[in-house]
Amino acid sequence: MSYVAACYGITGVTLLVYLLQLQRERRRLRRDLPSVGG
Amino acid sequence: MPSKPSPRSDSPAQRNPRREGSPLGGGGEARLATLGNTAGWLLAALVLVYALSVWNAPIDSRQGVIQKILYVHPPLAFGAYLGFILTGLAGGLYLWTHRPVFDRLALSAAEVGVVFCTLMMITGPIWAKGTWGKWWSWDPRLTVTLLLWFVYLAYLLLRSFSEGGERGARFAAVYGLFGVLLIPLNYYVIEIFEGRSMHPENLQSGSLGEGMGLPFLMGVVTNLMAFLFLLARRWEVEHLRANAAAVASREMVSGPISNPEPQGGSDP
Repeated sequence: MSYVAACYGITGVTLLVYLLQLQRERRRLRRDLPSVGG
Repeated sequence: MPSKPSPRSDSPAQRNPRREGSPLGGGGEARLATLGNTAGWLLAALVLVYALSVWNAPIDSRQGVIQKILYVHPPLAFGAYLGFILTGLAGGLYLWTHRPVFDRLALSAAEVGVVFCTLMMITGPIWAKGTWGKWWSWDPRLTVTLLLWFVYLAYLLLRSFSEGGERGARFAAVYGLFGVLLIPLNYYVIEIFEGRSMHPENLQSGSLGEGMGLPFLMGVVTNLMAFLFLLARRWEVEHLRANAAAVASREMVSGPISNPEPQGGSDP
């Protein structure tokens, strides 16, 4: 069971952290360029 | 990790900032954002159904509960394949049309593909340790997968350290097109070696036990939706970076812009 939990846990956390990094970068760029994307 | 911005010294953005400076125009980036938001909500619902289906999936009689890694490991592989195929396709479209939007798609798809490939290469050895008692073997499938990972990692490093510009984008596009050739090799290597491989054979129709089809399908659909969601966000970030570079380059030429003009563009 620990192997299964490790696989799903690592996958979920990694994708979530990657998403949060993208969201942070996206917010920073939109803040610096308020005319972009409305 | 999102790669560093790649300012281009001779990019179409500098040569024609009105046309290519905001590559999607305000409407195009908004469409990507909307697509990403929609995919995000759909993904949240899918994750819930996926989790329930895996939890309720029957336990395999031979491997036991560790067999449930099946519902995440191959779907991650499909996400990696999709990313690398898109990298090749987008690179090909860039070579044909010279439109930077495709170059940015190629880079974005490669990055998300590498993330999925890395996760595949983590979950696989965990499964191997639990099933075979060892983390790694120089099995044909594992070896070609490692090669695939190195090839696309090198693609990202190449993009990260290049000075940008059309020449770099063309080189990356050709590299991405050749990299795609590894994907069918990776998928069929077990058949090529006629079963002399520790890695299980590719799933065939009917090879899953009763009750395992739904969680596997949910795994595939959820991981592909996660891929598309992350790709939309990553592609949008790349477009925003290109826009920022174009504005910065216009300001260098003409001085600070207090009210940037609305941008129009023909890109999607």
